[in-house]
Amino acid sequence: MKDKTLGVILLMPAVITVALIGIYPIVNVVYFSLNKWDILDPSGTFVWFKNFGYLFTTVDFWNSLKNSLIWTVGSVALQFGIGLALALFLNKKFFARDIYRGLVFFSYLIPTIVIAIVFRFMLNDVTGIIAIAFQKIGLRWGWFSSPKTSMMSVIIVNVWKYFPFVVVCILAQLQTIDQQMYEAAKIDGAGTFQQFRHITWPFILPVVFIVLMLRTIWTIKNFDIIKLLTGGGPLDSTETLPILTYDTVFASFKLGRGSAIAVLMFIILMVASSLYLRLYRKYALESIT
Amino acid sequence: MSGLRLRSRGELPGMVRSIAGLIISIVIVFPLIWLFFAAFKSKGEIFQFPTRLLPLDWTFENYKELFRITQFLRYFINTAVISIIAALISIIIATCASYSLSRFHIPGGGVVAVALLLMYMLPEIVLGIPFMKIFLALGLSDSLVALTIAYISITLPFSIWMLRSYIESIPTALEEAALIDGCTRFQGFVRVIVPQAIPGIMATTIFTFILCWNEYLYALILITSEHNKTLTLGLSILLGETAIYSWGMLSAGSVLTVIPVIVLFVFFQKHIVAGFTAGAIKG
Repeated sequence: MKDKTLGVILLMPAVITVALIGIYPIVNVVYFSLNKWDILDPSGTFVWFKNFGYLFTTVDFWNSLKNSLIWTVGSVALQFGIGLALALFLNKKFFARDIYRGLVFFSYLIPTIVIAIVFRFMLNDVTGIIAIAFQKIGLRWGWFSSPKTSMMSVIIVNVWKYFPFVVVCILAQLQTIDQQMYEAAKIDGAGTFQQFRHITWPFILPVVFIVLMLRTIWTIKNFDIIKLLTGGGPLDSTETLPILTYDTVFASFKLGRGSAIAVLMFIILMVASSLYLRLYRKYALESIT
Repeated sequence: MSGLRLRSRGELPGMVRSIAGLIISIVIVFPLIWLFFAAFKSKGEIFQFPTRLLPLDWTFENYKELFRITQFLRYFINTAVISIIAALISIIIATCASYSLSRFHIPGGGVVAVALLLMYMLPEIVLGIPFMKIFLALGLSDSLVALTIAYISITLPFSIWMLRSYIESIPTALEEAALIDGCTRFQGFVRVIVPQAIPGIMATTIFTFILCWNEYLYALILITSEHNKTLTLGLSILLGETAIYSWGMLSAGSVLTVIPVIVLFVFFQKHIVAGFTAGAIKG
């Protein structure tokens, strides 16, 4: 048997699986989005881009787009800031550092339902220990139950769950920096900030790009944190695009309109992913040479 | 002189760092510790103020109520079975595919790799809508089989993404030696590459298992009947339905849901983190 034949055979199961449960469903959802569906017309009527046109006239869509933007930018910026600071911190030498390094990934793996339960428990204004502690210092926030604080609250939980990703990726890169470069810089009289600016930052920059891209993609498409914490409320204040898609299809039973939002999200994320892919390849090439 | 001044200004002593590390760790684990103790508090105590971390009287009431009101054991078994099957099927397909993608330059191989990556970046809801329709047409709606298939759409691209960089890092010299010794290419794969890749395969399997264990959206869309619910779906419905929140019972459910994840994390921490990081940042 020729080598190439073996390669093709080994790849086949993956290709078939992707075709059946990746490409075929996508073709379906695109088809749904171009049709009008209702109970009287279960087989659908082809309406071209009417669902998309309708979408742009609704308040809900623009509200969700705005919320998605705040949700994504807010979450990614905070995750990155905290993650970078912690990665730099954990790269220093101190007692029991390795234990902390291990622990830092912890919240990333906790099921979202458990995180939702514990934060709704700790942040509700009757029994919540954190909410009550804030009340004691005069901050009577409604957290998830007030439209003023709901977006901030879901972002905090999102940051808490996903900052470890930033930490472990940047830390992995920091550990590959040659320590002699710092020694040399110190001899030349470079301060801590200058060392960061001229050695650390350029070195971790490719990973920073990749991490930002991945976190952005994953935050845009995130569904369960918001769904389980607020369900998109109160008063649609945390309704992002994935939540709107779900509600349109599974609560309002508007398959065509919901699919149209899904297709738009698909396009947005494919653009973002291609960007990620380019960075990934560029960096992969750099690390080989 | 200036070097000495810089050191004392710019760098914290080890003791301060350790304390800072401790505080950060507490922020990370405190919510779960709170949950753990709340699961053993009586109803009255949960609503009592001022509150305390440790229960005054330890009670198993919450656990008993959880098993009385819900089919929690059923949720647990469903979740475990689906997660194991999805993780195993995807690791087998992914190991073959990763080897093929990293060693053979098949025409179209690059396209497949990109398609897999894009699939991994896809919002779950985009596949969730057609899945509902497709499984309905196949007579598989509200079934664990449908849910397992849906989970593979997440775990397979992820597994290949994580495993490919691992297999690429295995030196080709080992296979070449096996070929010279008279192995076929396939034997070389099974006897040389797979054993070498075991740590990566393990880490990937555990990670995908946890992904399935934690999954919520597909379960929400595809499952309706009580006996097919997963842990996340069962708990989320309990969270939504209990009008005056029964935090004790929800805490008990959370503790039982999170224990398997913690056990896996403690045992495989290093492998999981290293493998995952490599998948994300190394080409």
